[in-house]
Amino acid sequence: MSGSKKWTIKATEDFERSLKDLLKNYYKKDPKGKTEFKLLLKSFIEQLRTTTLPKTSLLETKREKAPSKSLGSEQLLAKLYFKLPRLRGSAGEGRIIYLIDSEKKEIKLLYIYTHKQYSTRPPDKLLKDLIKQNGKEPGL
Amino acid sequence: MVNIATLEFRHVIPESYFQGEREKPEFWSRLPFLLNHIARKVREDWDSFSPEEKEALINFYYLLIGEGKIPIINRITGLLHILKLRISYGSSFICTLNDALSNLKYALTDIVENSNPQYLRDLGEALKNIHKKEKEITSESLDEWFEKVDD
Repeated sequence: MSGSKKWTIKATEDFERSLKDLLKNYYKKDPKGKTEFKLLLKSFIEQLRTTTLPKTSLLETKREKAPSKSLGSEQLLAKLYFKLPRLRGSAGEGRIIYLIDSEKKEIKLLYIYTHKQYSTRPPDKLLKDLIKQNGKEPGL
Repeated sequence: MVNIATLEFRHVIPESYFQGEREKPEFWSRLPFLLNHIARKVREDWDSFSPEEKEALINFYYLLIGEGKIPIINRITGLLHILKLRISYGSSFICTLNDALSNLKYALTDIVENSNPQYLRDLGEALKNIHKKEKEITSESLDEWFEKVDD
């Protein structure tokens, strides 16, 4: 995926909106945490210019399942896992979804969120639903 | 609550793994292999786990990310056990074990997130809007871009 030419990084409007929400929800009253987070995000973006699926002690990336037929043959959806500074539990589990377009040599940041947004420790009912779900990928 | 320690996952773990008793050193030396094996199975065939195993794995995930309450005595014995493994197998074994735990953690987090309809809606929305307004972020404009978003 990486070559001599650096990758172009773009942020979609949705990414900016989700980043704004994250900063507001978690770092409004914690300037130190915000500074640490900013440094982490910058380092991740800079790594993406040369390595599309970076893996370090601070972050991990994996291919993400995309809804069928939503991507072109040269496109790949990826998910970055990282620890949000000074946050614990579900809130400290950060994710960034991004699109790798090999043809255009371009990376689009699509969405940033924390695991807490999609599930805290599941209530028993949700847990039961999840267990019943048979592992099938729900449609979009 | 189902505890992961009480289950043996015999259908996903090679029978040979159980030939070593817990007291034998090889049982622990193969723990990273076991965790990676479960992680692969979680990704590829979540359905093959029984409801009890699924519940135990999800509970284990929340313990891994620090959501559940672990009694102080269990924390101490856990730390002592890690120390014992560090002494027996060296620091590289602890790194391998940590990588395997992370691997399982990521596999489980995907199961939980992908099962949340809201996550799938938000992901679908983000993909739908992919060609709408976008900004290039260069090394030079990175700080300015961040400040604008944070405004």
